Amino acid sequence: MNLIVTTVDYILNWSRANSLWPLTFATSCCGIEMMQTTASNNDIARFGSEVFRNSPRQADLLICAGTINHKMAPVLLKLYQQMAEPKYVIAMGACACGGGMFCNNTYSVVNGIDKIIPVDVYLPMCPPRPESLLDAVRKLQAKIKKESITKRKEFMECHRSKLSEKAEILVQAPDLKIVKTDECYLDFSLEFECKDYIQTPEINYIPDYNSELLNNLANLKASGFNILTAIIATDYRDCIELNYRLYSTFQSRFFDYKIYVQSEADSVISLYPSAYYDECEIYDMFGITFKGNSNLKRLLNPKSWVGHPLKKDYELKDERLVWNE
Amino acid sequence: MSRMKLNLGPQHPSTHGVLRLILDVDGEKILGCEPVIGYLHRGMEKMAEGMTYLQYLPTVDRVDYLSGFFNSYAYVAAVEKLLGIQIPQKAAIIRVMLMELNRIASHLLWLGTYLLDLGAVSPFFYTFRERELILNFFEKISGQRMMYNYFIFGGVRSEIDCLEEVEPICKTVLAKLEDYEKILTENPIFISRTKNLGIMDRETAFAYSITGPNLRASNSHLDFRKLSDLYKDFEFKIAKAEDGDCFARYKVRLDEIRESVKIVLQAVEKLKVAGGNINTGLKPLNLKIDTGEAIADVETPRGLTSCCVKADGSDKPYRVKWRTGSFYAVQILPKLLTGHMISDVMAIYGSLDVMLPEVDR
Repeated sequence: MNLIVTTVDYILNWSRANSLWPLTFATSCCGIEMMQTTASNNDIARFGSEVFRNSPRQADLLICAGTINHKMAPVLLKLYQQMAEPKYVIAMGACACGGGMFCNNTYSVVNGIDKIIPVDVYLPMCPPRPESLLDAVRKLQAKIKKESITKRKEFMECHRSKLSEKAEILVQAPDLKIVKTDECYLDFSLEFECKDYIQTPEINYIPDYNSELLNNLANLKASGFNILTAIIATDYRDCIELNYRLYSTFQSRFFDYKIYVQSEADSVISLYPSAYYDECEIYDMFGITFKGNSNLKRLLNPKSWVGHPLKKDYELKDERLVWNE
Repeated sequence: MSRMKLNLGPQHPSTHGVLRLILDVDGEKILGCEPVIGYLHRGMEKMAEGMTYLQYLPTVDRVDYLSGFFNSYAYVAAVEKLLGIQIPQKAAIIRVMLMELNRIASHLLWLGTYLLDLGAVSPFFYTFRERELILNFFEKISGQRMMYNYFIFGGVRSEIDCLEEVEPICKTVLAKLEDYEKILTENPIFISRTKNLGIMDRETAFAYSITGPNLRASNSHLDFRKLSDLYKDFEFKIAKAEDGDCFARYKVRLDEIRESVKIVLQAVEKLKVAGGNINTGLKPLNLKIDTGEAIADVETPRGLTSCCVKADGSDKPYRVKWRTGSFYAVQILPKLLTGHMISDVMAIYGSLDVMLPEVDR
């Protein structure tokens, strides 16, 4: 019996190890090095892994190339669950291994993907060289060649129950920051049914030219400052400074127009449509509402995020997300 | 009635990152689109508030990893403005040379991946081959392929001792650029997939704060390099096109590579005779900066990047704000995509050269 199992193991492992099809899953910097690994100088095809699949259902290797943040975490879990077995994971780069540069002083990064999915090979460095990725693939192949189908089955069953627990945590626990962020990834119907398609910001606000900000910006625009390059917000504890940084293509110069607000400001999207994203970001990061911008939403953080991170009184919590407990 | 919502991303091979688009489609036709961003939000602006000026320096390369030198420059220049220091002439020339080489590398990567999105696989291998030459040079001088951490407050970190390698790289790039043009510029498939597609006129581009090659493809002269002191001794033309479609954006980027090569060659000539220090010898450890604020602007491959640094007298920045070109390029997507077919989504999106780390920061 053992003889048969080991023979089958040998054949299966040989074929699995030499045709690892990776998923094209790149979130950040390491993704570029992953692309370089497929290009002519490094040529991952020598190791049978050049067939990058765009669908998780056709892939059996997840090279997690890059930072995973709280908004992306449910997506990663979903992708992993969608992959067919046997499936393997390489955590590429310091961020995927343990948060890397972003493990301190920030609020949005998951410190290591092994909090979400099981990892076979860790590949640190920021970012790893293409040769390192090839080495990681070779190490994974060596690992696969030692596997046994019976043990693999136990491993996957153990992990399947853990993963579904994590998926449940995602939906149930409302106090976890990550939760409900993107429920649509667990149930796609939710977001699509909940509301009709949001139009991109049309000018839905007749500017009140009595207010100073709009009046002054309108005058500035009339005098040639036709680009609003950015709105720079700063929290000074007792007030929040908004710096409307204008640029004039006629005069070739910048102009900083500053106002100080407490919690509300006038929206300028009627004058400068580009301000829409700026205003959403400031709403997300500082909690300022903009009168006249009817589609204010959290832009960068998940919808259910609590607090406004760039305010000075925002507390960076160290415990982050605790999937494993 | 075949109207439905179509989810695209955040895991999609052609978004080169983690952009998510919720498309409202009727059959193949796009009626509207809502970009969802933030899947790579790493809190870089908050990070700065908990780190010293020097500690934050290596992380700024990650704001846009395809143009690390530009981000380094923006941050370093803002801090230098706050400190009121002038960098040595030689360091300024080295900075220009490296930034322009970086621009070439970035545009080459864009060209390869854009054509990959359109279905042409082989240009990807060609452009990555040439890009590798530049990356090898960067590695020799800084020790890293993508995150250089080479600019420091008051100059650059070390001397360049392999300057003779730059000219052959430039020659190769120029020669290969002609090859690309032979393959692409009159290629009927490429033209029919990019001409008259995603047209953006100049006034719209201004209103949506679009900068960089995307704006210059819409018949504008705006190039922030011309305003910068750094570039005032260099001669170059502003690459420009008039149509404002995807093909125009392609033309502008290819022309920009040529102009960048010119600048690099001028810089090499200047460096051969330049003497003096490469940095001011400032000790950046425990650097404390008096209250004030400074904004540095730089024209990156993806438009205007401004870094605003506010100091409060301590050894940590009070606030750092990044203004990046791609952030606004994503915002204009709904306007450009509406009315086109699903198969054109990637052709239009790719032509804008959006980098998601720059959008989410």
